[in-house]
Amino acid sequence: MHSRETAESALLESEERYRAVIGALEEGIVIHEADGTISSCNASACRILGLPQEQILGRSPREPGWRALREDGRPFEPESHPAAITLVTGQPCSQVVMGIEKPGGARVWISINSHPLCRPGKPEPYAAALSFTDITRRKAAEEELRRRAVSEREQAELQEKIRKSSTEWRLTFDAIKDAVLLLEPDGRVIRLNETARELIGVASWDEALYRPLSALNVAQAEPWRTIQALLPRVKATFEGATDQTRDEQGRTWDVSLSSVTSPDGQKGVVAVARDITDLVRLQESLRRSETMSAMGALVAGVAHEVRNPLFGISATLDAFASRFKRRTEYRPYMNILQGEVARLSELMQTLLDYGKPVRLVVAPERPEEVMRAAVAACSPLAAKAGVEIAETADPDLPPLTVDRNRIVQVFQNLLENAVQHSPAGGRVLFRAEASRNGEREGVRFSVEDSGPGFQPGDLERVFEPFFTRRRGGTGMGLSIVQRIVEQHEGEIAAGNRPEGGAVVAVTLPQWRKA
Amino acid sequence: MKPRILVVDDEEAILRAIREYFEPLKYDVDCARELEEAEALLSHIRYALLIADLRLTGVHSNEGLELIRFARERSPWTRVVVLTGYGSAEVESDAVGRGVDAFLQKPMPLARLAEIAASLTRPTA
Repeated sequence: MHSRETAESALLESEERYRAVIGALEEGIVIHEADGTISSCNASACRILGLPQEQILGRSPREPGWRALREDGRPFEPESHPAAITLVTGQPCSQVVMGIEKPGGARVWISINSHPLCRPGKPEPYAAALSFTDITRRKAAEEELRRRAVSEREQAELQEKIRKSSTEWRLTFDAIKDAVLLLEPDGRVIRLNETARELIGVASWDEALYRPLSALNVAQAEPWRTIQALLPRVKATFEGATDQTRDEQGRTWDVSLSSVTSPDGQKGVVAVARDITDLVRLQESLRRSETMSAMGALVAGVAHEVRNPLFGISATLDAFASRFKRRTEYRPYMNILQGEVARLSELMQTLLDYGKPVRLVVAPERPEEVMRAAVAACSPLAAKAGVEIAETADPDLPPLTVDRNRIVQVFQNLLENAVQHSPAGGRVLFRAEASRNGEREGVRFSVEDSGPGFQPGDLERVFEPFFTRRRGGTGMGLSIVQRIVEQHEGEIAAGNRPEGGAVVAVTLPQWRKA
Repeated sequence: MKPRILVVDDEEAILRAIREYFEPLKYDVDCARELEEAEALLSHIRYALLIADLRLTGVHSNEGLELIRFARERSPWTRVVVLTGYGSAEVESDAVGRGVDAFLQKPMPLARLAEIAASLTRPTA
């Protein structure tokens, strides 16, 4: 009896001790009976869950007095509850995170460990003991960290996007074949694209950036001078301004300035310089061909009407000369009259040829062959003038798309001009080399003489009909040459060699089937 | 016997000059200024050579071509030379198609015209 009392008292004492320990624990403890109901809980459980004991006891995973949530916010199914798992499997669970949402909406996060309680010899648990700690603050801290990580990632992504966008703009800016500059209203360069950098001729951006245009080496060259000239107007009116100008290399530039305002109110000027040389050349060629067909019809009409009376004169002169050939006193007059009539006849023929609408008969022709034919036709004249014609052609030149007779005529005219303008003992250089202008491939021919060259003011006019500085010349030679070259979709340009002497260059397209 | 030539042109000065130039070269030269006149002469006289402009009265350009056709049909033994100031490539090929022996452009030295006339009228000479 005594021993039983002693045993009971010891048991009681032990239970008291355990209860005290459990009550003093920071962790919340709950006991789930085999049917899942909570049969006991400690003070920390009440504190952590924020519920009085009576609202905890008697609850089960199936009928909780709160909402149990998983970390991702989905509801916690009753059968996945650690108590349920341990009761069914007899296995412990550890660190299961669960959100408890109380009827008022307040939410706590707990981390749960569960242990099976078994009687000796019985494998299936009669209860499950759950201990849990409040991890709400840790969760909040984690959440905050996660949010920050997300925001940092988003920021990084945003920055990456901005960087990419800026690169794309840069590439676009640089891909523009026009020179584009962003200037401050006082003329300082803020931005410039690759085309502008190349044209200005600076190796790196730093050499041009944040410096006034007027301080650059090219300040006095076009198109930069025109940009500076237009700036004050744009600065004063905040309206756009455009102009056209020609640089020393003969390129034509279209310059346009427009005023821009950045979002922060900063004023700037965007200057665009576009090389419109080809366009202008095309327009000129078109205008010339229009003028030419109108003029050609007029000239041909006049020439026709002149030919009959001219023949009346020349035939009468011939008859007169024949009849009075023994009268020596008439002879000087006859010679002059016949000479003048012959000159007039020749001019009429030239005008007729010039005015005649031509239909080209093109075929593939070897450049060397065309050159040889033209040189052969000029050699008597060259021999008489004591001028040497030297021809050189690059190897492997492509065949040309030309009307052979007309192109031979072109080179013959150019060579004759060159011979006539060279002094005795002089030399005419006739060269051919491959040429490429964008997509167009062809051959560039040049005829250079050792004469005085073109007078600088004449260069603009040498292709005009009737323009000549040579006594007795009709001034039609180069006009006809230009006309034939343009009919072949070729190009012709006149200039002077740095070492003296004139040069006329003709570029003709290479053979391609129509 | 001297070869006989018919020259047809509406310009009096040209007719006179050609006649004066050719007669000393041992040709008999007749002249006409209009199509009908030329056709009448061709119908009655046997000409060795016809030298004709294409435009006669200045209105049409096809009167000369008509004369050529007439000469080819009615006077096949007559050689034909066209001498004109209005020759285009089209007209020339038309004329050559009608059996013209030479197609010449005004103005032209009479000495050259005489060479051509000689080659057509005295091939064996």
